[in-house]
Amino acid sequence: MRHVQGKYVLIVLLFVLFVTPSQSYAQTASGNAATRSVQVQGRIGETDDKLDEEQLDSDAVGDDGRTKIVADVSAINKGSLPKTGSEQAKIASIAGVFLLVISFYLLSNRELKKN
Amino acid sequence: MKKIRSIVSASIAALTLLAGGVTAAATTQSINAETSGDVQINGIIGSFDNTTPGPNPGDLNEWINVTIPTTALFYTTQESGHQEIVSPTYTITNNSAKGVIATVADVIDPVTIEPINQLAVNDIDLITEGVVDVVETDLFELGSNQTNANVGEFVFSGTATPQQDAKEINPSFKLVLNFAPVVE
Repeated sequence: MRHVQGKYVLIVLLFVLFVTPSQSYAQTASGNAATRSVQVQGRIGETDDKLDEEQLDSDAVGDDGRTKIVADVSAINKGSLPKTGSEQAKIASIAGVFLLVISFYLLSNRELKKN
Repeated sequence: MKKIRSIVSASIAALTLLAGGVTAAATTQSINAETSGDVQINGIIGSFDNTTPGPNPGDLNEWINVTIPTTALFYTTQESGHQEIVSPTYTITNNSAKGVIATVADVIDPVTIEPINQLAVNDIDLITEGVVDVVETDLFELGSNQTNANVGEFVFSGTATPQQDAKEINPSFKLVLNFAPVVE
């Protein structure tokens, strides 16, 4: 019984860790799905917070020869930084499922020991 | 009892319609001055697997099994003064045992596309002078998963007019692709 539960937990973990993340990069149209759409995003122009290479060469190099990189806070204040990516959200959800599975496994073990 | 009868009647009606559809789709042969003829019978038992060769299902679209990107990106190059649009190369993979024709069908939900002078995917026009300009066109035909020609590539190209200070603009839209199985 315990061996079977262990196998089940392993299968769920493998599915969560390997199958779920791989589906976020591509979609598969299969069976009766003759139409699909691809979300296309573009970038015209350049971002404000791009590093000026000339400035980096002259001003940012200190007396000790080290290059100083200073964060541009204006981008944060303008809210133009990229929003939290879906990948990070997915990792959080995967971690949540992982914790749930572990908790379930531990609880089942405890119940088995009691019996 | 009455309910069971109605369910059985509905099932028989559905099966009759289905059988009729299959008959209509089958090819014919003429028996002339002969007393017998052979009919090749092909069956599908279990769920249809479109990755292995076999008889056609009732709905030919069940052959479709392609993998496409969820999102795609294009951008302007600094070298061109942010006027030339380029993109990474994206792929569409046919996982089916039958070939498939991928078609560019439409551009929907466009947002901030006004700065785009011209945008095309594999030389198929999508946007012209800031307006969606799509005529349904075949993107490419992919071979079956039994061949080496089951992967197709697409890229975006075009021109744009950046703002005076070359500040970043982020246009977006959904590119609608149609797929049709290549079935003899």
